[in-house]
Amino acid sequence: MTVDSGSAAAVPPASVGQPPDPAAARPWPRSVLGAVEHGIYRVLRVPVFILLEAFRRYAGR
Amino acid sequence: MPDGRARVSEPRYGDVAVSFSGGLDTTLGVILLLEHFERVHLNIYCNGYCLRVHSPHGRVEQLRNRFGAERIVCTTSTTRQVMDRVLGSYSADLTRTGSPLIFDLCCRFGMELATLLYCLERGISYAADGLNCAQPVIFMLEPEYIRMANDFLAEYKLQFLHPVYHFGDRESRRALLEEHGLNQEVKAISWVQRTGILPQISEQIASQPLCYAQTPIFLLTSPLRNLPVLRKFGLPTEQAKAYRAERQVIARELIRERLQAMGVELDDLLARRPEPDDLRPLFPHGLE
Repeated sequence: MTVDSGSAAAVPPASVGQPPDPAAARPWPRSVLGAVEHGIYRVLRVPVFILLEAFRRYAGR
Repeated sequence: MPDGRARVSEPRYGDVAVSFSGGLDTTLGVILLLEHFERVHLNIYCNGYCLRVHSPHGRVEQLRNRFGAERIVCTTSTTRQVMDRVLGSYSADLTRTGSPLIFDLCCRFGMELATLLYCLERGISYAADGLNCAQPVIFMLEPEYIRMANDFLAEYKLQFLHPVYHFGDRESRRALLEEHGLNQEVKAISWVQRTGILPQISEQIASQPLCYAQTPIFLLTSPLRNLPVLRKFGLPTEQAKAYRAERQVIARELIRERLQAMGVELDDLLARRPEPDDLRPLFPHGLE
């Protein structure tokens, strides 16, 4: 969490001056996992949103 | 002054309005505000999806007994119409934003608007809340989001104070409540909190309303919100700010209409309202 973005802005990012992240050099597993996660989210969100809206209407009736 | 009533020093300012949940942080906020304000107006809101709306009333009585009934004004009102107007089409916006947290955003924004209207109607220049940075973090606790809310209220010559934002951990906040005889802790919930699984659950639950509609998305304000897939349902701060900016356009129209319905022109009212003093330095634990 950024407790105070005003002061945090003055602090350089943690990656500055650090050796490159080895994972960044082989991005495919990340992006594949990311794509899978995103795919599941896109499929799952349809019934989730329908249920949430139905529940909201029921709760607020 | 009756025995047992607390007053640290003579307050220098008149009135402040608080969106009051009856929980730990808003109660603590009221205690801090009473050091500087003569009267605190506690606004208890029902967004139309609340259970146990009466729950904070016991806390209000405790505060009145402790600080004097003349210093605690309490109003319970509905924000359903305001919230529905601001939320617009929940279904469409769920798909557009991808996050059910827009409901939280609009609920909270609806309460801000209700407090703003309350202050405009009564000539009050200060509003406050109980936001605390030690609560589990979602967009509405990010300083940049809070400052957006401050700027919105400032358009109406109202200063928004957050007196407990940096007020230490939950234990120390609870200790201050205990000192004033206001701790209504449910010990079993404190234990669940300490396990870290559900740190956002309030141990002062007996004095707080519950939002019925929010139950299914409770997970998104817990540490579990960082789990794969579940995290995709979150609302990043930048996206929350953009969504709020849209909603603020609707809110400005709503405020103007509400005042017109009371026979008041907003521009005339704002011309008459004094600029509030900057009272943030009075609250060393508050958000600057």
